[in-house]
Amino acid sequence: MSHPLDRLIQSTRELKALPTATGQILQLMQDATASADDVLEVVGKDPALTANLLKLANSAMFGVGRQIGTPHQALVLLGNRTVLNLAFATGMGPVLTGPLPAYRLESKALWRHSMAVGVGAAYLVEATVQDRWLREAAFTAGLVHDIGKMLLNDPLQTQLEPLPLGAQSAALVEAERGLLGFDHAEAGGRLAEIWRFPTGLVQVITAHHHPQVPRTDAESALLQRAVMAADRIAARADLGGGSAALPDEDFLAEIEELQLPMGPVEELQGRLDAEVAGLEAMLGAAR
Amino acid sequence: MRLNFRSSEEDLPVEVRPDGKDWTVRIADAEFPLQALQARDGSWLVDTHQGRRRLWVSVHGDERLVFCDGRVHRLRVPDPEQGEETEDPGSGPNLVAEMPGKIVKTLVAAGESVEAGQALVLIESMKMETELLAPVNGRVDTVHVTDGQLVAQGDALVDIQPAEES
Repeated sequence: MSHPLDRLIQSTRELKALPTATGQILQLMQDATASADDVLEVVGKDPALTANLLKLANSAMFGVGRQIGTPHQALVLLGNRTVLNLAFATGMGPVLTGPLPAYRLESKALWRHSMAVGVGAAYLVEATVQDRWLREAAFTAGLVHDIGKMLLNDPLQTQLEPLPLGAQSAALVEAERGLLGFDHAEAGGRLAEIWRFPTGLVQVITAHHHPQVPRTDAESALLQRAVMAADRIAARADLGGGSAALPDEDFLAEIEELQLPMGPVEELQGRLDAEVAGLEAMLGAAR
Repeated sequence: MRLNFRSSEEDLPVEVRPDGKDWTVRIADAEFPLQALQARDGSWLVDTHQGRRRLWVSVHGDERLVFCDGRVHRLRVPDPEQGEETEDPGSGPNLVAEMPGKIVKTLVAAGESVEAGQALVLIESMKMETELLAPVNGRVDTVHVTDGQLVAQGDALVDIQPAEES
């Protein structure tokens, strides 16, 4: 256990262990030879996961306009990859619950922020490229992008100096680094690596506050930009996950830098709160 | 580089060829590219056409214990000087802890029959629950751990008496 963050991961009380079923779903997501039976066997082990998977599969965001009543129907109508993505998303809820006093986040506030960034990133990707798989990948990436905050809460609470109240995300990350020597994006990336998240997810988590990290392919670059933009939009909807909203001028400058179309960004700002409330009602606040 | 690994079940002729920074691996009749990177914690991140896996390898003389996806693969590199080597009857297909962790639940008891692939122990390590699976058909000889117990890397968890081939 030589990586400096590994001891932190092992000892963090707030962080629940990744459930067996979610770990197995992660393996199947990366196994091109996984069969429908493999997926059904894993998903069927956990009734709560199955129930939430079916709710997502019937939602306006991911559904196909037909009632889906069983995991088998979901597989037939949506395909292995979509079912695994949705199962992974629902399995992460219990892990991202909180509370996180160091970030002044009550129980479930991080999960609401995570859903906001997931929904927002998916919406922005869909508005940009109309690619169903990329939209799902954006949803998943947004959902887990801040998982590192689960790790930093404990050590931040032992510091004499608290995180600055009402800080915007860049200042928050800078304060984390000043106090601990690393930030939640780095810590989350290491955790995602240990938990064997797909490489693309590890990259988005690690780099969502470090846009200068080069991207080798256009798809992962778009995912990262969508997550970063959704993160900022979520803060403006008072779903900032510990970060305050940027002033209008800075917000517009950052969105422009992220090269995302302004129309969908404005539309998303108007509806994000309702989208998150709908998703939360559907999934429960992290089961 | 030609190798001949022996697992508890079969001999595996393996050929490994460097291919730039990557490798090409041939196992029996199947050939595939492979990328391997050693992480700072000593584990190996291996990418193949079937996705990414993290492996821990423990070297004991000519034996390699490879921990992957909750299973332990016991491999042996036969000594070419000695020709065919017989399996050490004392080294049963027992389950050991691949990393330090906490036993969440033991799923079998001594005397129970188990099938290869059956979950024997649920362990939490690095905040991740993993089912450790029986490597062979057989009968549980000894369960060394109890629920909630902390274990160190290499600690014995479950001993299995392999079923005799019919």
